[in-house]
Amino acid sequence: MTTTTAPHHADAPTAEHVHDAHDAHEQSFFTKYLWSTDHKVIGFQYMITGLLMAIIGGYMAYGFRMQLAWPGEWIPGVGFLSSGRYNAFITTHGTVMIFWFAMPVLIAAFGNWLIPLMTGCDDMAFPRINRLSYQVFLISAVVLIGSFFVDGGAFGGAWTAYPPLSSKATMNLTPLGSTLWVVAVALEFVAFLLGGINFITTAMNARAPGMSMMNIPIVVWMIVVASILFMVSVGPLVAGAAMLVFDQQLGTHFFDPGQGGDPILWQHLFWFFGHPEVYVVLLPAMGICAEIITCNARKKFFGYKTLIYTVFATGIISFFVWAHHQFVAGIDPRMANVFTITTLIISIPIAEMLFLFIATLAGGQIRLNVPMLWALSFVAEFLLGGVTGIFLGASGSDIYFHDTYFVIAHFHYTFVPIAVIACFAGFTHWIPKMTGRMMNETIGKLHFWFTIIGFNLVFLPLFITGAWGDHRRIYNYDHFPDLTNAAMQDLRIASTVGLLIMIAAQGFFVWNLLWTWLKGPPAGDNPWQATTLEWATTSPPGHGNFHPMPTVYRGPYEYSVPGAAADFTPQHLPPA
Amino acid sequence: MTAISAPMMPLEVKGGAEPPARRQLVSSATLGMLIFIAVELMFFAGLISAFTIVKSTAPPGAWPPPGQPRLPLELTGITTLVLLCSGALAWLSWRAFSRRAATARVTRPLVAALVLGASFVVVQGVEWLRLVGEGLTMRASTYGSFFYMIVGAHALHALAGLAALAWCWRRHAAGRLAPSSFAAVLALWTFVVALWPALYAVVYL
Amino acid sequence: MSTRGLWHLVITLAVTWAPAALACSVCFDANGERRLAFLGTTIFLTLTPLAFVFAVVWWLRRRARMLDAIPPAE
Repeated sequence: MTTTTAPHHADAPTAEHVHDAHDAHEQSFFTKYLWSTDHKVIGFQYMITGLLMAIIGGYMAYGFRMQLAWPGEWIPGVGFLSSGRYNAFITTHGTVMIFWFAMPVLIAAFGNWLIPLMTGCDDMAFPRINRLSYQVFLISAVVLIGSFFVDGGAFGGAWTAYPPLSSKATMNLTPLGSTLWVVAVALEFVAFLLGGINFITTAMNARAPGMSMMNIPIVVWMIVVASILFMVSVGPLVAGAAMLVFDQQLGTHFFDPGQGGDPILWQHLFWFFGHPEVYVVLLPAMGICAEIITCNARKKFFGYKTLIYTVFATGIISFFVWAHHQFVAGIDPRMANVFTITTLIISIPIAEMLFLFIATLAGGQIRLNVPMLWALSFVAEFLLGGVTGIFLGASGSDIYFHDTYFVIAHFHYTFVPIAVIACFAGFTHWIPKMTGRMMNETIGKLHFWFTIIGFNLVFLPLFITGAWGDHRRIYNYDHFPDLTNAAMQDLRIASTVGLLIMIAAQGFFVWNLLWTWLKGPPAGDNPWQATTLEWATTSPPGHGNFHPMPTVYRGPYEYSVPGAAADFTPQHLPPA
Repeated sequence: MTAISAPMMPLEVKGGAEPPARRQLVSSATLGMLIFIAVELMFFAGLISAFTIVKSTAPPGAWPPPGQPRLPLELTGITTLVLLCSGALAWLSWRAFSRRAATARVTRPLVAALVLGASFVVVQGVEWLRLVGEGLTMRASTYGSFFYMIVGAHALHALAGLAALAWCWRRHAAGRLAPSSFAAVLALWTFVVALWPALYAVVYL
Repeated sequence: MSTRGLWHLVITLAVTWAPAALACSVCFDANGERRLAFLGTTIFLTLTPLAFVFAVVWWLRRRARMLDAIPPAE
């Protein structure tokens, strides 16, 4: 077999060169933490920025939930919420949580951390492109936040930005905010394109010797497939975003039906990206939970190859479902029928993945530590989100449920497990590796239970109000007598109380981080007795990650192998 | 040290006391470029879809809108051929390069590809000026908007591709052009060239 | 294909192409050409990325086989 030897090609800026340059002199704070090409530092940058943005997104949610529970009253920390600001809060909450929290943390932060460590290489394939990726991402976040301070305020046309509301300043009343919103989203896409090229190339080309395609840990596969999905679905939306900016600022009429344009066209381009995007964030979350469940069930993952093929199937089918967002937009009903069927079909591979998780748990010696609690709750809560999606995927029932709080509840039952639960699962599992210190189990469990109780209290009532026909795009229900009966308002208040509990519960996480920083016990190289390569190096890994570079001899999940010395056999351990 | 073992892509084969090998089917630069091309392909697919849909909403006989100037069919047909020649020349240059031919046999087709590609962009620019003068602007109609959007996006890619080819030329003149970089640039230029006939057929015909 | 499978296919196609569904209350657009354009671009947009990804994967697999066929360098 002929192989090339160097993990980095001669012309590419190799990690070794960059490291040499760094090691040659004393690093200042700037070069070490802000201008670094080290994948671990960039992972931290993405993670911290993502968490800060999540705080902003959570603040927005706090603002509009308080307004919905007690309309028109003064809100502590926000003040009186005008209808314009309410719209801006809703829009920014959605945009931030998806593009500036879920994606940077799940794909960029965990991808940066885990792909080189789990595949056993010293850095990303293109370290400088990786650095550029974070810098562009940071600029995009600044542009988005800046849009709150321009004339007219931030964009308030929902995260889907349907024209003509988004394209005409006379309608959205945010002449600058709407353009800044589109620009910020476009910059964010550029950042993830640069990052995604890195993830795919690194996982393809820089794997440790002996690591065949079927020896790659699941989470790496998931991030790679998610990146491919993102790459091939984002193009049409970038085209649409460019057209939207031209409509806003140059006076073209791409989306103006009065002048020969077509507003449905935007939905066509947006949802072509929008639905694969769901799987872009879902797959890494699934991968993180798969790692944690296997490790803590002390059992080989049940059906590794099945899972990989299921992921491919999900990726392919995810391109056939996107028009189910447009059932009431006036699309061809025959097309709606086709998309109903494909939408029901895609629930099969997703269900299969969850069954594989459950089969992995069956008969295992389960350790109920904090990461495992999060991973198990992911399976349970995501199941609720998935099952309620069936109602919305069927075009008949969707005509009734469309634009009600049922949609909100369904969506959040998928996205909160993805973005919040899986993120915390990943943090609690890998923070010992990232920082070299163990987290506190008791505080972690308190954090877990309060977050889960709060989360369910937020969204279970919304299923009920949604089924009662509660319309979602309403600022003050006092103006809609049909929707202001006492039972509905009680449920809205319950939901807001749930949100307050959920926000307060994050105090435990901050406390836990501080505790870990100040007096966390040292973690050692492999605190969870796990098998994948990242546990073969020191915690935290130094420059170059591995000394010496590892060689892989077996699959990633060799737990409880009969006849083995320990109940786990790491990938890099030579056969006896 | 470098041995060329496959016609498509030169591979580096090292021996000796190196650490165990990491398998690379294709160089990182080329793989990264292929992924980038996938994004760009979908970008243009989105534009073409948008164009098709907006065109279909026009009432019969209203596309192109009456009163708007016609697009230069024949002239652009000729420049399309010029661009295709440029792509073929770039491949000739690559062939000479991967067979380690003399510098001149690599450089001559490369420079010719550059010149032809540049002339394509220049003719496009001149035609744009004429069309704007005749009243086909971005704001005049969706017809004009789409024309400038699609053709302009392609022109930007062509400029980027030309810059990359010029970079290859300079690197090769200095004797420092790595095969993987050339392959990546060639992939980009092939994409730009191969895309144009499709855009021509959709927008002009 | 079994008779049962054939029936399933026929029913699926009948559901998919039922003209009665056009009476749906939210379908304002009767312009056949626009409907066809949406249908056509939907198919085009969906198949283009899959075709590209499959082409690249096929090419990589072919390359992998080609490289495996070459005897290892000494």
